Amino acid sequence: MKSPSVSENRWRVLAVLAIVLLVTGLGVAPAAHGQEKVLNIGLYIEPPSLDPHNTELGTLIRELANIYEPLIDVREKIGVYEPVLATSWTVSDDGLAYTFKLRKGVKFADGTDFNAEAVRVNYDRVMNVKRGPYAAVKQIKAVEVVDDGTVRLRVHKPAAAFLSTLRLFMMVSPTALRANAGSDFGQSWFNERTAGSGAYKVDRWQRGSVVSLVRNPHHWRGFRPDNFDRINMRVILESDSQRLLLEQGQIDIAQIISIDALPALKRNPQVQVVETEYAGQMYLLLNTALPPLNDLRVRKALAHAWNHDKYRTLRKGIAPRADGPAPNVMLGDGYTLTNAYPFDLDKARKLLAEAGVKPATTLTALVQKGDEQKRMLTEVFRDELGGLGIKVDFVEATWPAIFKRATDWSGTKDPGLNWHILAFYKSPDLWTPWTFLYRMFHSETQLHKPSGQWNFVGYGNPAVDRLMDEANLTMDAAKAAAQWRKANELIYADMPAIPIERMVEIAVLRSDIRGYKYHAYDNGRKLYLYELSRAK
Amino acid sequence: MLLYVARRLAALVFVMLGMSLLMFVVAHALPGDPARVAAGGVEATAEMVRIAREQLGLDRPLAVQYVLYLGRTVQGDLGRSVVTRRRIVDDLIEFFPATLELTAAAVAFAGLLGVPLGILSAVRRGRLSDHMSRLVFLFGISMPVFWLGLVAILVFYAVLGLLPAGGRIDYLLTPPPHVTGFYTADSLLAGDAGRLASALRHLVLPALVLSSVSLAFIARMTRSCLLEVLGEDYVRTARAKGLREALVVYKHALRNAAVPILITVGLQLGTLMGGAVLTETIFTWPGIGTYAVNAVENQDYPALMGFAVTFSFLYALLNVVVDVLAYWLNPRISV
Repeated sequence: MKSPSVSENRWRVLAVLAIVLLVTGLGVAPAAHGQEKVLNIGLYIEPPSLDPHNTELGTLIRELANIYEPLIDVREKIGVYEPVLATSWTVSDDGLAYTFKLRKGVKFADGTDFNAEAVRVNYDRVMNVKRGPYAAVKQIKAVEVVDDGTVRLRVHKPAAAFLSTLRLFMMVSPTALRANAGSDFGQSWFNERTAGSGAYKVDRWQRGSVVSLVRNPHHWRGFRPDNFDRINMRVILESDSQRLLLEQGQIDIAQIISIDALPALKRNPQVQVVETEYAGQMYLLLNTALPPLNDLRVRKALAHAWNHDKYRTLRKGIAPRADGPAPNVMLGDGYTLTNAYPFDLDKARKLLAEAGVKPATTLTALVQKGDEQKRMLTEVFRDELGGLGIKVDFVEATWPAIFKRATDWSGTKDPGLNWHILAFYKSPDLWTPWTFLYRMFHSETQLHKPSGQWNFVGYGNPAVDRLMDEANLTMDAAKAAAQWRKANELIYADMPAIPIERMVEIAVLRSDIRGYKYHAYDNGRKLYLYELSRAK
Repeated sequence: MLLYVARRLAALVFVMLGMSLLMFVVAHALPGDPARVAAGGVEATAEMVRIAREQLGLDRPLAVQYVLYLGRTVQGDLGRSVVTRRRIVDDLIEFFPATLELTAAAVAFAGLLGVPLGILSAVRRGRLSDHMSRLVFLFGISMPVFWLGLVAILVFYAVLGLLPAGGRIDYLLTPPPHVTGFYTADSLLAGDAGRLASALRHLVLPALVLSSVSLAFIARMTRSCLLEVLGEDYVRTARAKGLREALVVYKHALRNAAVPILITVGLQLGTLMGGAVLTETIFTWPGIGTYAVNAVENQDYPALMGFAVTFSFLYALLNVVVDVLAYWLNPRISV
């Protein structure tokens, strides 16, 4: 048989290419952008798990709060709470018993009624799984079913902040739990499926691709005509891709946008950029246990060396100065803390001289890899310290490596692990000053201790400890607030951490998306999906 | 032949043992604490971390952990991911096919484009088409994949609107029923033209971008192998006998140059599997590269080891297959 000539081969190749192009060209057209009742979100991070009792608290507050609900949630004013699955509550005089009246007519997505027994079942589950909200729920000693619509929580010890922690204790359907308990209290099932009472439920989850939610037909609030029918949370981890998709209308909300892209996005009439301050704060932590930072004069000098105007310029104007060790909004109406450490290099120089800090002293700064904001502020700080004759060496590492190094140093004081400065972000995960002041500055929360939390800097002041211990236990909200304020001021005077920046949530949405809201107590990138709609 | 295959497979066992030990040491040398990740990350209290450490067996001596791990692995149990909380075998079954599909398409593109380009370059050595081809090779090897990916998205998605920006299938479509995990093959098996077309459209851009480096390697290998063969006496004889040039090149020269070209193409599959992570990130392709990076960032030791052990096994097996194929094609190869 005669073999095909080169020109015949060429035509065959072209024919194959044409078929391929035709087939791919016949592909389903890109989904109709801006389908009215479908919301598309470019996610910040893929949730590791959909189980509200076995996931990171960030995922719980951000994504799962649209699927599962707690008894109560917080409001802007400290000590005031939003009824959710509970409509009212009373607290016993000794602060050891909380009695909740439950909302009538609430059903989980699988049709199961919500009642007091469901609360007890959920409590048992959290105490067995020991993950997620365990630290918050552990405060509860027992759950009593008074009647179907009334549940009593007995706590181990009184705490003014107890109610604020209940926002993390979310309810799953006991029916789904019993049917799928297996040998791991249902963790395998709830990892990838949902059975909550929230407005939405998970329809499907293609890992690495999309988490798709649909309406929960049993949701107790009912639905408005303009509520979304479907919400696709797409895993797109590249900021440039999210931006392109947003501008093309393929996604409605982009959660990863570079700050450099904002000016152009603000000029785009099809995009809205909403900037909301919230109570998260960025700090420059100063290791108070390591010379020369163990000298208060040196720490004050460093505080005077922070040039916030320069930093704000680099951040394109989006960098309000942080209040103090804790955000002012958490410490009561009208409370403010005056900045006692304005940028003043002369004053800094004087303090350093008094403390006997020699020229060309070198400090070590731990810099988190991949976090441009933390790197930027550490660089600004390094520049100013350079003007004071202080050299700053950078040690770049991932956050887990930094955490480990700081913990090991805290326990061993190994000179090989020395560090002086660390940029640190604290979120308002719990709406109580406790989460800032106690977790970061109580002597018992130093990293190496069994009760260690986020006291990286090795700070310990008995007077502050006493104030915070009392504030934790008192049931008198006004008294507790006064104690937290006093602790806040004492810590500020000791300057174990320079308060740098109050966080600004930057939401980038298509212009036709309505209902977006954000609160001071929200954690980064939180979305209230039930409130969102699309303008006609 | 059978003896050869048996020897290679036996050697594979020792390779895997060494690999598992190396990965175990490397995984545990990574900074961070997987117990903390399992317990809930930065928010977890010291007590929760301690409990998670006990549950995961991370409080035992390293040697004990390794032996237990080895025992479970040979039974097909790679453990549970601390991030996804799923069995790692299930994770790999979900993520590996995506990478295999992408790299297979990339190798196919690289082969289909690279081999003819290499032939063209060899046959027209010294001429303009040879110089242009070599420029293409240089471009392919030099351009960073992540840059190429972003430019491709900008041009083909944002400007021309021809191809999608990422994902494996239109996000409003559910994937085809799982048979192979290849969306293209599974759509074909299900007789679903719509999903097939969507899967193909989503595959084109990332596969082309990923193929850029391999294309250059394959083309260069083809060029140099063909040039070597075209200088042989029998080729001179064939030309002297008056055979058409196409016949000389395709029937005589190329066939003898095929073995090293084939080996290169085959090995590119393994190389690309390991190098697909950047392309997967740019194109939001939920493959094993993304899974592995996630595991590293989250100190997910079990997932990291499961990935490494499985990938090493597949790569080693691929090498065996390529060697056997080469031997079958050219029995003169000494084994």
